[in-house]
Amino acid sequence: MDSQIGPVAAVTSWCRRNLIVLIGFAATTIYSIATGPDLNFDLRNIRAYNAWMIVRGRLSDDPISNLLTQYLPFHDIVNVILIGTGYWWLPVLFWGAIHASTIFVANRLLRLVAPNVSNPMRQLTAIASLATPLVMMEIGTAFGDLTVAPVLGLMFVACLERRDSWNWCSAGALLAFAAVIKPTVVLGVPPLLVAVAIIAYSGVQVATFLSGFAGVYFALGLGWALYWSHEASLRYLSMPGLPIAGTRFAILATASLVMLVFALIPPSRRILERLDVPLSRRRAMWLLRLGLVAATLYQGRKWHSEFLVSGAGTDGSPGATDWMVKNTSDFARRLIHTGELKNGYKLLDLEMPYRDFRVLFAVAVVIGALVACAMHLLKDMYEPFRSAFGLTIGVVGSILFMIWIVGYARYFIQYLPFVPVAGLAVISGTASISPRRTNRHARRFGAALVVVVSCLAVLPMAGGSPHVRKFAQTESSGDLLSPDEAEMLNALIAPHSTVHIAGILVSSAAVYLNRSDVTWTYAIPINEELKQQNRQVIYSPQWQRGMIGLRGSGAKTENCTVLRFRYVVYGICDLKS
Amino acid sequence: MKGRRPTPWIVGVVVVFLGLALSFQTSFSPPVSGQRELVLEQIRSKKVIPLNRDLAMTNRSRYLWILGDGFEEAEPDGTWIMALQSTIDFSTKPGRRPTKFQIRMLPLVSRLKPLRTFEFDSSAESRALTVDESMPLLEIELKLDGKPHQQVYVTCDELVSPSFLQIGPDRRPMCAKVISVRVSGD
Repeated sequence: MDSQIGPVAAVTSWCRRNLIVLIGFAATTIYSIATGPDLNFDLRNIRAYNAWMIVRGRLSDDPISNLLTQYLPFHDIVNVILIGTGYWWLPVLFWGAIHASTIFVANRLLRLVAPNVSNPMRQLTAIASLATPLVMMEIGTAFGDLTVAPVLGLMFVACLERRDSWNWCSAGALLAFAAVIKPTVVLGVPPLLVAVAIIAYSGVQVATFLSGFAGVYFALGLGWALYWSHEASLRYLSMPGLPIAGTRFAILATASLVMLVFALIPPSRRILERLDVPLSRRRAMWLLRLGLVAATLYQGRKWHSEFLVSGAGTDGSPGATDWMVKNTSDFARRLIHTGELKNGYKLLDLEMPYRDFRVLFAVAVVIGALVACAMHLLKDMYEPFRSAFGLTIGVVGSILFMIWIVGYARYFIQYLPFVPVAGLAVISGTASISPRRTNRHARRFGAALVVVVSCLAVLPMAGGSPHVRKFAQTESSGDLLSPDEAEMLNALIAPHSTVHIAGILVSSAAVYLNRSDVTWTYAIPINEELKQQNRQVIYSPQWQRGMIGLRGSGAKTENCTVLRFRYVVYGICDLKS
Repeated sequence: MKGRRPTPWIVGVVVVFLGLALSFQTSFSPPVSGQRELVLEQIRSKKVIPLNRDLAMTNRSRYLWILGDGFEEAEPDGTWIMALQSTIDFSTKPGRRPTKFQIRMLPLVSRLKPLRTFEFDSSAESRALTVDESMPLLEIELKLDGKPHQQVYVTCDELVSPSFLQIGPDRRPMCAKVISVRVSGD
């Protein structure tokens, strides 16, 4: 229809059809600004600094950058560019709009998996996708977990459209892109592969998806490695799950690129399609799915035990194992509560007693989906239900898998918006096997139930909390530094000096001042360097450990000044040998 | 339909937006001659406190600048000491003689750490004392030598976190929370 009318009329018509989600998008974007600036601990502590060094081409100045190269910081680079404009609301607005776009993606998904549900109910469910504290606390922040939600949603859309090889390949590419934005996505790949195998009709579609994923993931990894080979030592460099160096990387990267080309170039694709005939047999697909389930369980067990070892804190510092689910009471807490994480700077928002029912809802959805799947199989009506079942396994399976291996709620936030989508898909699919009249009522009631249950944790009448603050924020109601404070700090940093950073939360000074004449580094100076002019140290006055290494190197501090600004404290000294 | 896919447009808008942001980056210039001294003078003036008044060390206080090394960012009810040695650095207006320094603080003690030892050093007096759980609020007085610029040092025996003491989720290693200070004189 749309192709026969003009572009303006097409846009107007689209807006009319999608008015509710448009309002939801606008409201979410405004909400991101209304909840204030994003000065999260990670950003202030090191992430902004690291990305700033990359944007300014000064990565080789500082070996600290080598410590945080477990991921490709594209997301942080975008954030630093926006912070660099000097308007705190700009990055918040940008990320808020991206997070809000999850509503559009959820709506698109619902049209694919719940086509029988009315358009307004679908749109309300799409808005409800973001209405839960665990999701809301990241709206407008630069953590990146929620940023990958629309990307993962589009991946499901591409799979569920089941059009052609490009679709499957781009779905895999979207997953790779999500993993690049947020490395923790890699941990959810095994259950997602099971979901893709459920949605796919043939093994070739799964293989094409995999080639899209691997091709893009490795292509980006190679590009990053090439950049790094000029800037810093490759020794430290890795992507999640794989070091970007050595023979293993070279073999895997080459194989993936060959696979990608093979899956996309028409003559080779035709060969794959011929292979498709024997592979597409139902039994072969079930075998593939069961194999992937077994591989997922194996990998999950492996990661779980690895994380138990690597996540443990050392030297009295907090460890990531605090979050792990070790018994049934831990799991029960994950179902109804964000969890007392006991691991952070001051009292992080995640330690606030928000009740969040999204995980509990997810468990209910997956149980419902399994029961419905059995009913459909008994009635030999499985095929129409496959999309809903695949989506549910992809979304809820990933949440449960992440709870199992790491337990940290923030790592599966990206899947939470799609729980209501999966819930409505299961209800819609199940209703379709009942008589027509019951079916209509069941769908209406089910859709209303999904919307209410999804929003329960933010409905005041249900004891929920509608006031959800941004996650892990250091205190501030505006920008980190006022113009006067930034001027004061700037005046104390000598022209053309080298500033050594010692301590937590102070590297943000480099990003805010953005001085081209100053060299910033976490390195401890050697004696020869101290004899040169203009060496200074910026430190956290409250964190004396940062200065121990510096003093141990023989450096003497002079003319120390503590700057107690509204939201941040800096200490600055001159360094002498 | 294919020509109307929104993805290329959205990607295009984002790229243009980021390009514009990149071309509007703010940056500071090196300070001009004399600017540093002006700022140091400004900081010195922020450390001048009135006599005979209780000065709250909360995040709304304008007298926080007297807190030097060892003090955390201020909170609504006080400021934590997070180092074994911390410094309070202040001045009085010319012509005034500070003679007594008082500090009120909440020592971080619990069943797992029932005793805590502090040392206080001022220009005219040094004091050491041990507190226990029965003293939730500690008030200490120290003599001062009357000079307009003063430094008071607080030494803690150990830093532990409320999490370690099983009295809260906070992981920060701390010693005591300073509620207020008062400098008396004539």
